[in-house]
Amino acid sequence: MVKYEMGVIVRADLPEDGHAVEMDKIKALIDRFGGTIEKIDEWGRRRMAYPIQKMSDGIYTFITYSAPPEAPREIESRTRLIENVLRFLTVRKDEVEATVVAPPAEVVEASAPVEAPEAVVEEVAVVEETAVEEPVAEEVATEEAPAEVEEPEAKDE
Amino acid sequence: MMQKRRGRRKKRVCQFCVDKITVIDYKGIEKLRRFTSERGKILPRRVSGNCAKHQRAVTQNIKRARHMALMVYTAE
Ligand SMILES: [Zn+2]
Repeated sequence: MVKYEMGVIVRADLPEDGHAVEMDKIKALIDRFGGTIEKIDEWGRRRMAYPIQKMSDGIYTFITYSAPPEAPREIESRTRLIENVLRFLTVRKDEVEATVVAPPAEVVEASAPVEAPEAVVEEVAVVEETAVEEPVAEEVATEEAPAEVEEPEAKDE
Repeated sequence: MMQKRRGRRKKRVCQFCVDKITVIDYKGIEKLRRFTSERGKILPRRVSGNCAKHQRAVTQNIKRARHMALMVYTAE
């Protein structure tokens, strides 16, 4: 069994329990493919960084589950068919419990302590980023990189 | 004694290594935002000061955050 975290954005304009209905579909998929849900992190409604399908807000949920390694692919390919799901992403968590505090619904500053006792970066590895409609461009800001930037000065540590 | 440095020396220290942070989560966007420019582009390593390993992790997670509309791709 491998531990995964699946982030899901459901459109925010569904009536009444519309959101719950969509999430139930996903939970059912996880169950169907042998997964066990360990944690559900609700961020709730939130302004997205850019509009998706002309919508500015989405309802964010992060589900931690453990499942056999084939499960995410199956779950994702079916999640893709759920129209009201705007986006989703599955990442591996392995034994790492990255403790990140959910920022407030609005995009205000959130002190997100990305602290985990010990772990290795690689442990949070992408499973498969699918359903992306992005121009996968390996861009790096070269210009506008002020040639002589001082080190990001003392970050009040 | 060493001679005076001309200009300021940029300390090439990786903040993640210093802080012994080993997990970078794409949901921690406040932290990730420090590694993007005003317009949302990923800062190169020579600016961020990250070591290769952490730069890779930062880049990967910024991309995840973008996919999940937690960060912009690039502001117009
Ligand atoms: Zn480092």
